[in-house]
Amino acid sequence: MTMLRHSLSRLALILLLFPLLGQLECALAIQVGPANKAPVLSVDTAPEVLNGEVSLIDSVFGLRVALLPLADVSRGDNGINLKMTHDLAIALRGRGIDLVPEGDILQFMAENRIRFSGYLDSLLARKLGKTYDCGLVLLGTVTELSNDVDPALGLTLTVMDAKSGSPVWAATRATSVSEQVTFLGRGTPKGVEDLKAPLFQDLLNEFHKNLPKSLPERTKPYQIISARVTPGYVQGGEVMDFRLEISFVEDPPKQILLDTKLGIVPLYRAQAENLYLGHWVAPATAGAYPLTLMFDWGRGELSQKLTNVASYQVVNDPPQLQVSLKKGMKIGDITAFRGNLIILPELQGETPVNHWSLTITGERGQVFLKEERDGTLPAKLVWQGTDAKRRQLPDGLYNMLVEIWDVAGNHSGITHKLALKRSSVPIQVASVVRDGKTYLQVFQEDAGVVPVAEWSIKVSSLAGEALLKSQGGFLPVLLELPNLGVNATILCDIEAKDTLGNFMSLTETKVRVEGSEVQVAQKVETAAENWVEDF
Amino acid sequence: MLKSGLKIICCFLIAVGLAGCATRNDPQVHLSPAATEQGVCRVAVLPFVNETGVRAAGVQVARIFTSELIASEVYQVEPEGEVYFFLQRNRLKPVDLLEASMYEEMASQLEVDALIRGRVIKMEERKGSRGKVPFCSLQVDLVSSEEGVLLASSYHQGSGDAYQKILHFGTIRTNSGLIAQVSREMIEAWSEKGLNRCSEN
Repeated sequence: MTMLRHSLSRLALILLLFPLLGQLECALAIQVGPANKAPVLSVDTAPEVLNGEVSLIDSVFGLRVALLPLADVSRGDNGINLKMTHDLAIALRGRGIDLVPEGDILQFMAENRIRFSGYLDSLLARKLGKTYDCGLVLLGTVTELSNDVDPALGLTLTVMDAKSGSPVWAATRATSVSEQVTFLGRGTPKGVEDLKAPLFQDLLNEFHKNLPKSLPERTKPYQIISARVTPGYVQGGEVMDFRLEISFVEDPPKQILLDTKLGIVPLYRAQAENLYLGHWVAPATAGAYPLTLMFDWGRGELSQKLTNVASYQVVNDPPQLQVSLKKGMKIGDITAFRGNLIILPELQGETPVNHWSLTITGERGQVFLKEERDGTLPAKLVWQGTDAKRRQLPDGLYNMLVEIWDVAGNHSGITHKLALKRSSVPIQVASVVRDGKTYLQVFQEDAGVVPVAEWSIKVSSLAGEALLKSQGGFLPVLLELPNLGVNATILCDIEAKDTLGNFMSLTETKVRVEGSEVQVAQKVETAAENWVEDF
Repeated sequence: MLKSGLKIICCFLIAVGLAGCATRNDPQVHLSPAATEQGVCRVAVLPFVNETGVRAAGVQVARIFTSELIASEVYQVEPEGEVYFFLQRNRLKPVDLLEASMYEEMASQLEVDALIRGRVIKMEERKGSRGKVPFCSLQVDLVSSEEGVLLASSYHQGSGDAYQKILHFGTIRTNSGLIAQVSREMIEAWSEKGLNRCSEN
């Protein structure tokens, strides 16, 4: 029985301790200080928060800190929370930290066009430190702010060292009402306002314990916002412009000099703040010219050179352009085509193209088509044998001129002679007598640019008797006819295809075989209607 | 007999108490051979891409992740302002995907060994054993300063109730708290894999 009583008391003890163990776990897990009711923050009440933290106050007492407005992501990407900033400022002052006045901070932000919160670049952090004689810059972001069923608050703080401009300490803490469980529910926070105090306390305790060490001062007392030389590509002898936008941690140097490799150009201060300009004449020799900046701080010697801040290139040679043509046939120095002519321009060298044009002119120089654009030359162009209004141009000879201008202003152009041939060359047949024999002569009336590649002919009498059948390649050709007597008439069926693939057909063309005189059976004009194009 | 019965009851109570403890996933970290050879000390964190639809989740996670990175005291972190300054100077939007050459230029100008880019894949509330708990998943990559080579790819997800200890205690109930925890675990995993080289400098 005693045993039973003893066991039951042990069980009761375990059951009693279980929730208490949980409380301990909770306190450890959320890393928030004492679970007593959080006081509302004020200068007067802040020391209460620091109950038992006197030694920590000593370590930061008198520390001068610039607190920037807290960003607030619960209000969007660029949200800002001034109320929380004020509350944090009170908590910091309560710990003896000397804050740069809020008015000074806002003035600094306005002067330096800081339209954001939660972050800062190193130059501005250093400038802030120098301007207001503070060692640390404190930035923060409210990462969570919710007044829903379970009110929650999250805050991240980052401290930047004002000497080096680098972040030296950061911490994130978050808590919610449901996380702030207290023993028997006493002093349980009700909303976000009640969560602020324990959250600030935890963050600032962490800050005190790990007070950031100062880092060595950065040697670079400036920040180049932009450095631009125009034009980037230039012909020798042209005027160059340099534009430098630069910020300095403290006062600007006595003089800023630009080493152009040919000489030193002193930059002058423009009307706009932090803007410096310089001009010089580009050298005649082609090549790349990097620019180097030097600062004269008035200490008798120039500071370390800042190489390659920008560069420009002198280009004097015209761009090397090659244009190859596809879907055409090269005949001598002329490219003949019947449908689409593919134009493939190719540029040698790396100088960018600024402008290009393509011009189609007739034999007498009249312009049928001109296409010109700024920017890169297309890798492929197609000409369909049309003019600027997309009307089909007649068969004939044309000149195509492709021109380019590089960014330095150098010009280059290439001309190609083109023959547009959509229909086959008319063929004529005639009878001739030589050495007492009668021949049928087949020939192109105008040999022109595009020759016939294939032909076939069938000759028959008017009675329908087959007299001759032949085929071959190039024209002209002489075909011997059987003896037909005087003043006979024959019928010819002819098919021919030129080298571009244009096809023609003549059927039952009458040819009179008459003594020794040549008889021309087909004239160009009459045959033209019978041409058949084969696509 | 009675004694053994009481032992069973005690064991049962302990089992019930511990039953709420959920299992946690470790971060998945894949390092390239170059990562362990080269090592990383000085880093810059690029703005995170927000794929969640939750307003400002990208800024929230990037800022907490950066904070944890600084707090780890393992890496030297370039100020966030320097990253924005570079983006602004090159007329890039924070969410613009950078080309490899741009990574190289950025790393060179910021004088960092690697750039950290991240995606917030999920950020939501899920039903836990005792009410709603936050859930988040992050993808964070380390890109080399040389030609933008991927040095490390890491993925981690976490749920607030995965940190539950006894009964409901330990459960993380805030998004920020969970993101900080997940970030911390990811950063620790990098160091465990031998990514950090600051101590050698």
